[in-house]
Amino acid sequence: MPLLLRVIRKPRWYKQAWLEEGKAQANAILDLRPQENKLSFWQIEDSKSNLYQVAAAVAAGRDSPANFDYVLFDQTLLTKTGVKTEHTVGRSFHREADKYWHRDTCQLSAENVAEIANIIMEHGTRQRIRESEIANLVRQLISSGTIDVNPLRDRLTQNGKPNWLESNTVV
Amino acid sequence: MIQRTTASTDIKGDTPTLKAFLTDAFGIAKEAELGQLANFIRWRFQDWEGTALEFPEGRLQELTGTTIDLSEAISLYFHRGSSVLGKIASITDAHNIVVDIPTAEVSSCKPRVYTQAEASTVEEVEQGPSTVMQQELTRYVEKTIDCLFESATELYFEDGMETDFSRELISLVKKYSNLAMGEISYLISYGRVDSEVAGEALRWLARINDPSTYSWRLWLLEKSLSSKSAVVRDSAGLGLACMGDAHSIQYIKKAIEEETITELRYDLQGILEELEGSVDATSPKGNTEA
Repeated sequence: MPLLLRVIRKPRWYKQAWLEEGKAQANAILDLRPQENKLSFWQIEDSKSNLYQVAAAVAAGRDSPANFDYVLFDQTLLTKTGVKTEHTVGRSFHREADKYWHRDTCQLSAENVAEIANIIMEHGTRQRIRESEIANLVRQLISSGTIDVNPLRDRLTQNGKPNWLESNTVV
Repeated sequence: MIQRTTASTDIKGDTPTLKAFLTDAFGIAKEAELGQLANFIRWRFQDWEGTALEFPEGRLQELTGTTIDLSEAISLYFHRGSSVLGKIASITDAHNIVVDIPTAEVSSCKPRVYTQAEASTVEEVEQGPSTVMQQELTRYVEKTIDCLFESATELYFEDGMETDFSRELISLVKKYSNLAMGEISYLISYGRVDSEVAGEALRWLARINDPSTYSWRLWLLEKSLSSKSAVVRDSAGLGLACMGDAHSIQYIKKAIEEETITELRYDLQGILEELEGSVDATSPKGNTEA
């Protein structure tokens, strides 16, 4: 069964001595902010063959390069809780990722969000891709044409931000 | 007579800024944080509410927000109501800066104290316009940064995404350099601000291309590796990885030794490997560029 990826900030998921095993701290909810009662995930193959493609696709939309923190967990764990998952189009400018790998969990209640937090805490694998590594991945996918850089570059230019997508920059 | 006092910074030290060591009326030693601006001390006696300084002319001055000439500080007494709390015994710092401290018996000059109201008068400006303006500027920058950090607690932060907070922070550091860094360092290193906000600040401080504040930013990030907050420690590590300065290696090694959170220790190990790997090949990244 495939895995689901959600972008997080790792420190919000550190185990806390004052919490029972498998329970997420309240700050973890900051990484599960629903929009229209939906949460956005990316589906990752069992082999993780598309993991770096997805990571680069998401990271390319950032204002500046940064580490990429994420969690992976088994999609069946959501099904067991009754949370509905649907295939939707992503918004990353990585055509393949947007078309095939984006998922939304929909019709979420507040209780569902808390359940997802605890599933991630108990069963998720939290990882970090370093800034230098993810920036290189993004540039590789841009130079190969996998990620369409034009709208991303335009957005950075319009907002007066350095174009880190195609060269090393500082703020 | 001048007493020279130094306190060296070592990686095990935990006295990050200027401190005043006091003896109270019962001979009990106390200490308080100070902020330093050139030859002036900015008092930070938030925990000493209601305490006042006594000056030779008999005037009492509330401590909070007071700025005073460093060379006069040693001669002053502290009051709360009618009782004398004590006086400053010594002043030390942890930046390897030698602080000249006049002993109490030779400090007979009238202390120069500037308050918001006084500094606004024409007479005061005529007496020492640059000094008065500096004090006003200090207060302005401190207040602006305090408000910036306070208002940021309402914001949501994502890796690599700018916010009003990050934009304003960068702008203030570029505009006010070390003056801004003094207040930012105080807020973060003393845990006066929300951990998420402090962490976000550290991530962006590491990215600023401003050679004039480089050393201070590097120091703050290294210091923050020993923060009580894991969020701050993680951000400090990420920031140091971004700065890519070999100077940080010893601090990261120490942080790894002391880290109790397995995940964070693993991430710090990765940062260490990255830094050690880049030491031979490159000089510090970005920040030292003009």
